[in-house]
Amino acid sequence: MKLRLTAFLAVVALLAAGAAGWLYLDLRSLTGGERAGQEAVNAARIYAADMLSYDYRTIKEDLARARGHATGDLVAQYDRLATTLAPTAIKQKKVQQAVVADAAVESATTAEVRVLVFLNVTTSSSETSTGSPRQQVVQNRARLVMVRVADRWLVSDLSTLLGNTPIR
Amino acid sequence: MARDVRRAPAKLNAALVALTLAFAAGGWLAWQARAEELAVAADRQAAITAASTHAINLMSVDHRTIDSTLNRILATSTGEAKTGYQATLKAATLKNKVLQTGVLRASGLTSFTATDAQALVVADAVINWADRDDPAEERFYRWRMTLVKESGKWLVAKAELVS
Repeated sequence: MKLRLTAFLAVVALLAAGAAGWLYLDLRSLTGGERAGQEAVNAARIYAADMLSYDYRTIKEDLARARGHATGDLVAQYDRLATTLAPTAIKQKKVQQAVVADAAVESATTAEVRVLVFLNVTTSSSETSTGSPRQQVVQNRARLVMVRVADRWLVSDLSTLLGNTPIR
Repeated sequence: MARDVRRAPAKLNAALVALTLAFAAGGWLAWQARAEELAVAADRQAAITAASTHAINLMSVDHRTIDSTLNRILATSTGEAKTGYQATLKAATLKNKVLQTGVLRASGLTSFTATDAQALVVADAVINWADRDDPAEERFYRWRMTLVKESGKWLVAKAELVS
């Protein structure tokens, strides 16, 4: 009789421990999401400017640095850029400078944060095709998907937000 | 000897009860804190949704149904922004025969407290020209919106373009 009661109490204690543990972990991931958003947006401000800026004189280093902020498929995209963008940029003496105007958190979990970044991008080149000035400034918008890789935030996707016009 | 065997489970039982109570208390505290966090997360989402909705309303303007257009814009705004819309929007829309549709691209928060928030919104406009045969034109906008919470509802107090 007594042993049965002890067994019952042990099960109850285990269930309580399990429930409390789950609640605690869930609470941790909720509070962690907020902090993750702040960390990721700070990283994204630096990365976004870095990843969209280059100078034809230092383009190899610029692209290598940008590649260092990337992870996953984006790394391959920067590898492709090194072979496609670099020759044109050198030929046209292109300099692109991106400055972050502001950045916001779209959504945040401890593992992935989506950051919306407003960038002012100044591009200048030696080639003056008819009608386009030597230097132009474009107000850009970009979404950076930040993921945590080994305690660092890295960019797994970078997209400009220019969608299709809606069907009417 | 037999008495000792009988006494041991009683102590063990008491310890298990104490353990259960401790876990229950810890769990209850975690539950409370978790409920609070969930409420804050929902409130953040509500602020983002309010900014997005306002941007869509602001970009979707039809001079033929100006009153309902204007009502939608005013219902999602307050303060400085609202006063500004009341003063100029109707006349300008009717004069230029504006007919445009808003498209939401993205929105997020730059800062957030229980009563104030700031959001960035990408909401573009597709413009149809009423008196011209030109094809629809798309205009790109970057918005920074200041939101305040009034009687439990997020409203846009200021909407400016980010240059």
